Amino acid sequence: MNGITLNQIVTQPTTVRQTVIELDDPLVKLVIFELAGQWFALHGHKVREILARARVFFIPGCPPSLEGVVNVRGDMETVIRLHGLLQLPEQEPGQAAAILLGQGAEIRSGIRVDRVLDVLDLPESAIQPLPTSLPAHWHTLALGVLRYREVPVTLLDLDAILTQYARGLG
Amino acid sequence: MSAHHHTLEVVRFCLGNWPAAVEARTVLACRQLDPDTPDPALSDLTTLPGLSPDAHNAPRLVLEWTDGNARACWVVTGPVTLSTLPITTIHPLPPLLAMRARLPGVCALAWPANAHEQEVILLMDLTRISKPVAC
Repeated sequence: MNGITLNQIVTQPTTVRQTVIELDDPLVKLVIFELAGQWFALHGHKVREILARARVFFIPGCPPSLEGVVNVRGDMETVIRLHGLLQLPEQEPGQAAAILLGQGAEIRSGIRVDRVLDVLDLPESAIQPLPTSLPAHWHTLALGVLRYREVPVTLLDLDAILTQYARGLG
Repeated sequence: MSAHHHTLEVVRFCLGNWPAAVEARTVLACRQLDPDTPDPALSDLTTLPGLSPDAHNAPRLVLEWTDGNARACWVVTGPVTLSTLPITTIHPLPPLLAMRARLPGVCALAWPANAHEQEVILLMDLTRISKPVAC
């Protein structure tokens, strides 16, 4: 018993009973995806489009991490794989694989992911600083961590990723 | 460009197993490569890095080409054909491709002209390849 009666509950304004939402905490849109068994996120404003089924045309002379190009309504976009840059085990794309068409550091490219898990708005405060336990090479590529469905998710920095990739890493 | 300015006339050939093309206005002639007396000075485009070996028994041809000043010859894989590409299918190299691909001389890409074609066409600017051999 906590001392409150049913009469008090039903007569109390509903707004008083609701969980208080911190209005000053802005929301951020995130695209959460899986890559090599790990969960990552990108800021939604960095992802222009999610391509579920797109034919990738191989181009000779490219590193293995550059899958090729896709036709996006007449425009030609590259598709890159982040496994090398993030030092993740290489895997062949499965049935649920998708391409996130993103833009960072004034470079536009598709990014191959194994599965898109969600696109959602979260309070900015849900993003925590990078823990020291994170692999050292991720610290220059990630902005923070969060939990989604009780699973740790690393928020990647698309500007840093595309800049480093353009410089020849990965 | 053609009179309609909607297509680009190109000479198509192969680099290894890959479809490629150069602007037709830069090509002067095409002749068979003499397999018995190959000219060791001829530059062989089919050996550019990143290319797979030539298709078995594919004809080898010499493309005579000019940049407006000098004349040069390059060995390519046939068949060599005159063709047109709609300009809407031609794209500059996407930034990451330009920065990461190792395929000298490629300045643009074109989507396959027909549905049955499987590969993107490599559009070459032969002035970007060093040391053309005079012929």
